Amino acid sequence: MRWRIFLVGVVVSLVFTIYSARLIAIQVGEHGKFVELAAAKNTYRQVIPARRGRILDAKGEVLAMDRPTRRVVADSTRVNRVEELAKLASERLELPVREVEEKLRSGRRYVVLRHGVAEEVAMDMQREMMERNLRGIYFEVTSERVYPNGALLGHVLGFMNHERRGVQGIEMSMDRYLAGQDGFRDVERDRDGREVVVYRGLEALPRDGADVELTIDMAIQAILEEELEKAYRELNPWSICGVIVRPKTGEILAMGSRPNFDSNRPGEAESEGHKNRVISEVVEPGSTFKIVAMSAALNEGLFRPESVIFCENGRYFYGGRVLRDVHPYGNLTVHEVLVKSSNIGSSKLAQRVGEQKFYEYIRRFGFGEKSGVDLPGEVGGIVHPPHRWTKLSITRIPMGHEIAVTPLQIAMATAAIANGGRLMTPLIVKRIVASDGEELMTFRPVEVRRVVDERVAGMVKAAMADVVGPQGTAKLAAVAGFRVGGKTGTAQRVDPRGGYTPGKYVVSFCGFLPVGDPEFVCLIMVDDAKTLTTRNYGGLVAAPIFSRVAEKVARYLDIVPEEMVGVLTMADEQEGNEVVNKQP
Amino acid sequence: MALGIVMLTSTGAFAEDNRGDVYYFLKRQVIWAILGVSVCITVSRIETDYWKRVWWFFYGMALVLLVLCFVPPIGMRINGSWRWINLGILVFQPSELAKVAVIVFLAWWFDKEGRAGKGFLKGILMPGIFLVPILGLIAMEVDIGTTVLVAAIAFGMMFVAGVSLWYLAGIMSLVFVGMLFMAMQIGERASRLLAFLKPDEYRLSEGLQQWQALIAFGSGGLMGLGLGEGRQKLKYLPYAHTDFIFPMVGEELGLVFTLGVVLLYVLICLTGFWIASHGKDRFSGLLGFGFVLCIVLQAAVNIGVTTSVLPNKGMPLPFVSYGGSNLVICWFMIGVMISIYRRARVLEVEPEKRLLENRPVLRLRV
Repeated sequence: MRWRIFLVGVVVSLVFTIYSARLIAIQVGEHGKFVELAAAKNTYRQVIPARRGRILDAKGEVLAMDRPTRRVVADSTRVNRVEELAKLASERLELPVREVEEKLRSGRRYVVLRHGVAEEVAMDMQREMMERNLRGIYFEVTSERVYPNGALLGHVLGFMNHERRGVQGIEMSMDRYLAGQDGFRDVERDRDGREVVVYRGLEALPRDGADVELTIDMAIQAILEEELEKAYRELNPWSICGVIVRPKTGEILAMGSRPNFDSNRPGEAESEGHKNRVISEVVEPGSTFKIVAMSAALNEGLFRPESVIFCENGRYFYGGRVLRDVHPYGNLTVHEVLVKSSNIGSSKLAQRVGEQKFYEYIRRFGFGEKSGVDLPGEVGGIVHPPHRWTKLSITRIPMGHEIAVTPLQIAMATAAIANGGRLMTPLIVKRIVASDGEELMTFRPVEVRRVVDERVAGMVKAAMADVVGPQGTAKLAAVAGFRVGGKTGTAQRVDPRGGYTPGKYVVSFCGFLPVGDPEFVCLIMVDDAKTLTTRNYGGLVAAPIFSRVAEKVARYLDIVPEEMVGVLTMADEQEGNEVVNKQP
Repeated sequence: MALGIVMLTSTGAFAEDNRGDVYYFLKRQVIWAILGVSVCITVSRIETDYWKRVWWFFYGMALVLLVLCFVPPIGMRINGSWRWINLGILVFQPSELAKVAVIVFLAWWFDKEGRAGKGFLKGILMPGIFLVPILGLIAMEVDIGTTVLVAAIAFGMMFVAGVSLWYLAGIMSLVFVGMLFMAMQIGERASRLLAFLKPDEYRLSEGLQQWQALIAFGSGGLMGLGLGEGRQKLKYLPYAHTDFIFPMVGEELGLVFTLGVVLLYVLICLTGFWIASHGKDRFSGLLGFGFVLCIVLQAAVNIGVTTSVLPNKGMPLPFVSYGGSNLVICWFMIGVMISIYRRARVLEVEPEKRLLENRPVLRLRV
């Protein structure tokens, strides 16, 4: 018996020896492989989203901010009681029961039930799930972009897509500052997918996005948009836009367009509403462009403001065509050419300057190139070089035809005159401040170039002041208590298919205040106002809007009135005598 | 067993059915352990001859209880098997008792028959007739693992008792052919049985537990992740506190402890066999051998399963796994071993060896 027991003992020992070898092989030999397997199975990288920076106006008012919300997601493989859970979810999240049930039965491990659920609602639901021992629905921490002012300034602020990237406006152009850097955390989970807090691994905290401070002043923005909205309703135009710039610095104080959209619900607006007309629309500027010809002629020393120009009594034969003024004039001084907005006078000034030189002045005023404002979607406009001009071009371009510019370019060119001849880069962002308060960037005013002498700028300014005076085309632009300078513009609407659309006009007024030391430049442009053709002039449509805006802005900015100017009567309105080139 | 308690503290807290009490399993196991040790001490005081007289009691008890497993109010059906008996306050597996019954019976039989037990009639047929009802009942519970275990113990005892090798070889080959035939018949079962050979391929189905066990062993490495740091018990390994406690030892404490455990079982085996072979008579020798074989085989199967050397069959790791009846029975067996040791022939010859030999036995108990 003994040897048999011994034999069994040997066999058993042998078996255990084999086990030992096996254990050594697994625990030491394949240790690395299994460590990886265990890690791959248990851990995953959880993203800790960074808080997106706020957008503030010049006074620190919050224009866009993140509000924490929860994204409710389901792992349908972990759901324990479908009907009960679907019922609860549909009640709390206000979703149709069938839709929720379908998702819970989908077999997918990650289904979004609802985005942007308020924190209280999510916490409440989570608690109830715990109490009733329901599983399979999770609440991810996310945030929602909120624009407290709704549609106000929507074009400038832009909005974000579902990947939380800005797709328009400041949200897009400043995305890399606003976005910040997401953090992450390696978490281990048990087989039910619950996080095992004790085993938290590597962690990298998120770097929150920086705040972007704009040059926009929301009070001014509100004034501008209120008037734009009113005009948009009354005149029912295709579009209307306005921009207010501080000429000394190039800071944009307000910028608005209609039609528009609400950044909180960008999807609800038509695509036309998403267009920021001030920077994305090109138009023929019309007579507001005449300041270029005058500036060039004076700056080249060819004329003085009091130099006389013969205006052909309203019919000027050139290049086989007749160029007309609406009101025929004989002799006008250079000063009067602008005040009366004579097409013939302007073209004669440009002819004396010469094609090449005139083209250079156009470019020096910033036309034909992007202004460089920190907003996406800006276009440069179209300015053809002289070798592509026709014979008629030298007579048409000075009055703002055969050229395509953006409203912002007109405003900046006007601001250059108001600023003593120095063209500034338009600023929309003032500062970028990191979440810890550190100033990352400050945008100081940038002078692009000197366009004309300060003396010449003063002469043009004086002429523009008279445009708003009793002899000018824009009496309705006057603001009580201030001397206002400006220029009207009326141009036939360019048909996208080529040529002009009869009966449709783009009318504008670009002015500044006060003339002595301009605090702001304001451009108002109305595209295809539904009004009588005989009344559809910049001086009649755009100038009154300017007047209302400028008056309120002047009051808000607390600008000291220079002199008392009588308020215009309705009778004066009738005398508006804008000069238009209505081409055959 | 200390290791068992410690590991249970660690794993039990995360087990599925702890009924909200992290120390639920621990408390129960401690109670069972105290009971087991008391049984061990009591039994070690009883002369081995006593078991010779009461074999029929064990045998009868085992039979009755195994039948009772199928009677609903007392028998309990868990996971489709009728393995448990519910006595109100405690639940236990009669098959544990059946192991003891079979061993006691066989030891008595071959002691009684003596040399006649070598023949076919007395060596194979007669004990076979007694064995078949018990094996059959356990098999009907759907507990193939225990059936095979009991059969293997019986086979081992017959071998040691001196039954002719020819007959045993015959049984072996019969069993082997039978298994082959069954595997052929049920292709699907064959694939399940073979799943253990390729844990990677079956990692999500039949081989899930064993695959997770391998990951536990593997990530533990030489020194382990540290007590309480194991991840696999977090529901990846469904029976981390019972049958699959050994991988948790591997993950948390490392190779040092797993090899230590294996070594301990080898020690139990060798000292046990040594005691058995020096038993005062044929009966105590066979009895001791049977008990040790029972403990060691369970350990061997368990370790084999968890390391993917054997197909997955539920088998506790003696002294370590959670499970009351198994623990008490194991302690009972150790108690009998001590009793045999006290009367061992060697003691009268070499009293000074007593101290030396006492050591491993004491170590096992701790």
